[in-house]
Amino acid sequence: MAVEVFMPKAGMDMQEGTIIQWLKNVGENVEEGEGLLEIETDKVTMEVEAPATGVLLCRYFEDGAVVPVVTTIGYVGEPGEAVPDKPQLAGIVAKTAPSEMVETVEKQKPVLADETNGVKATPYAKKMAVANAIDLNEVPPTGPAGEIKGRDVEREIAKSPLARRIAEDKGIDLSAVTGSGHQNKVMKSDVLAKIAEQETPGVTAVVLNTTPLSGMQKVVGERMVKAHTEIPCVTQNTKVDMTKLLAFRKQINENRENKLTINDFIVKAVAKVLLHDKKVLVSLGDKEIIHHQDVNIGIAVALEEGLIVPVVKNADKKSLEEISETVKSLSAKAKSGGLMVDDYQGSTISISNLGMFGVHSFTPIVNQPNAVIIGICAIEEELALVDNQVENRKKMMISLTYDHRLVNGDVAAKFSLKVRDLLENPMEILL
Amino acid sequence: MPKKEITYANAIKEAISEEMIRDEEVFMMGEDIGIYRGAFGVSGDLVETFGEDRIIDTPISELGFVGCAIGAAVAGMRPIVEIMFSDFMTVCWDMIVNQAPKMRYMFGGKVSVPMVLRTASGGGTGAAAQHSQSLEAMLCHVPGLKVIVPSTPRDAKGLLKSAIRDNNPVIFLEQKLLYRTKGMIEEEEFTIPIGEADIKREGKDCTIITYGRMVQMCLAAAESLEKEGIDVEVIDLRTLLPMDTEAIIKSVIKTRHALVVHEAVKTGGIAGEIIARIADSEAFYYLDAPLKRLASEDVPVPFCPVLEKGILPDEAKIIATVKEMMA
Repeated sequence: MAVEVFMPKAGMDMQEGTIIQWLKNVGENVEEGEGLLEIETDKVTMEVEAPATGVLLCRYFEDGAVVPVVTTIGYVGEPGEAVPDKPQLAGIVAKTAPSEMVETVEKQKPVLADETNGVKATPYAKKMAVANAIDLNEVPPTGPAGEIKGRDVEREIAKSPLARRIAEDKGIDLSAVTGSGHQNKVMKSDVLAKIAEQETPGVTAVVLNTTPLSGMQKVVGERMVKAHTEIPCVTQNTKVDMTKLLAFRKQINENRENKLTINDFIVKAVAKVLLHDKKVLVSLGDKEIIHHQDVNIGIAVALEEGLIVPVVKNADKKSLEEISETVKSLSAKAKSGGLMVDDYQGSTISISNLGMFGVHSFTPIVNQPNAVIIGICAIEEELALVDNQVENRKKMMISLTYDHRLVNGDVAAKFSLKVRDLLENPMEILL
Repeated sequence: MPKKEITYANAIKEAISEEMIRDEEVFMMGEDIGIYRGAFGVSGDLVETFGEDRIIDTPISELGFVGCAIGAAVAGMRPIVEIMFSDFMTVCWDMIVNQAPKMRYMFGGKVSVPMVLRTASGGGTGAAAQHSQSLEAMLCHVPGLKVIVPSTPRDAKGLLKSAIRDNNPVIFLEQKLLYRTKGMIEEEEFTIPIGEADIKREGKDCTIITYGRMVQMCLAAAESLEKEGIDVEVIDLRTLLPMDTEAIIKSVIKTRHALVVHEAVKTGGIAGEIIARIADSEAFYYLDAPLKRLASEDVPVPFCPVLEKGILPDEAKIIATVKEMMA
């Protein structure tokens, strides 16, 4: 019997996945467990394995398609076996999650049904559309039930017929034109101005090419906007004297094969402070502040297609060496796309390190639901007075951003100072 | 034009008094309207002015005295009959439905029934399921009757005078909770024609069609909504039968939104009729949101004041419904 291949639900909040590419053509033999296609979720890319041995009988969606989770995307079975014409939902999932199934079905419906059933508009909107020769299919609806209201048609009418015709000829999107006429009516002059604007070199930047927004970058973007708009954030810069730590690290690394990075020391120092001071390990609940026990430090890793923050779990219980190994393995996995869901979930605080790029200070954006993110900056040489002697010291900025709904300035500053004191007395980190 | 302040109850008494002076065929009968001065104090000292022959106390037998009034009307008098609570109309249903409204038609116009049946209607007083109903929709289902529900002292006086002068049976549904409310009326004599709605507030965004006690509530809601940029028109129907359909349609064509508010229960209520008239008219083509009605829940009026308040329409519910329509 043919076995369905469906879009997996790879995380609790995964709603849909993108088919990056099929690895098998229809008719090709596949082994159970063999990679059948690659998909991209909002967090990772992964391979979907063949659910059975046989041939790939059909593919309902092609490369690039965005498909709701648990939707059947193909079948594997014996050659010549009959399969449904249209994709269906996986039966097992439908039983356990009826509400989600309904949602998925509705999502697919519009393409099939709505175009043939006519347009949903109020009687007044229809009357206005007929009287003004407006095609209701062209009118964006704003009604609460997705219906076209009178105001929507009025907005359309507020574009003069001449302006509309010129726009059509020149391929101008009228919704992007600001009207200068009565009640913002779009006039001929407005359309001509828009055309001139588009044709004038130098006014608009020349587009080299466009690249599609990757699933990951889309999610990163959405999360950034959410954090940036929701959180009243403050960034505090604290300068740290790294001279001793650099010397200490050099000494330790002398006889080591796996060299410890400055970042490892910083993660360890942060973990050590958090062992005793958990005031910044908080999240905002619906009506309460959630205090976390676990010191799970998220480490921001830059990727070509975006950004991901794998988590060093229970960093306070790990030795410097264990932290170093964990960070190395996580960032290697992140770069090869091999992170599992568990690897990037559950952080209680995050670190973003831009030191290697010579950044003096910056304003990192809090990684929700964390309350704090620690930005690590470049180590710079500075002349300083030490015991009345001018010395060359190595200074580094810690740019710590906090969610002011959860953490106050004194708490954040005291936390930064504890991290600074530890980094300035590196032996203490290991004690 | 000089004006004076008067309560709703006294405006009704003035109408009765003026008409009794004007026409000696006018008289009133009902329970406790004489020495007791009326259950809601409407008749007051009328018995002292006009004597017990014209302000007649009756036994507790609505079927009997309403029948008596119909007989007097057929014989050429102009009776006003008071039923203490409108709920008790049901015990004289044969008179109200089968006799009074049918006679002129069945006798080929040889007789008429110039009777006014006044009665106290509506809830909000903690008077429970048998003393709080709003039964106007049942009356509107009977051709041959006229049904009036005044919302202000001025409307009450002007419309009652017209009702007394009308040659057909008129049911005059007074609003219990409005008896003590005050309003301004002319010093001079005036009447208000039956069958004309009154636009109590002009607006351009949404029409609320209502009557009786709900009018003040809708006006208050309109004030609040104005602060949120929604300009509401409030139509007080005043007469439910015959209904001023033209005023409704004209307004809905202007505002493109219509909400009907009444205190009577929703199912089978007059709101359904009003909405049907809009849907069945030119106004349909101007609608920019579904037609809505706000009415009491379909339950007997509870005795518990909290529950009674819960089932009745109120200002907050009106505001919420209008906002939902204008979304």
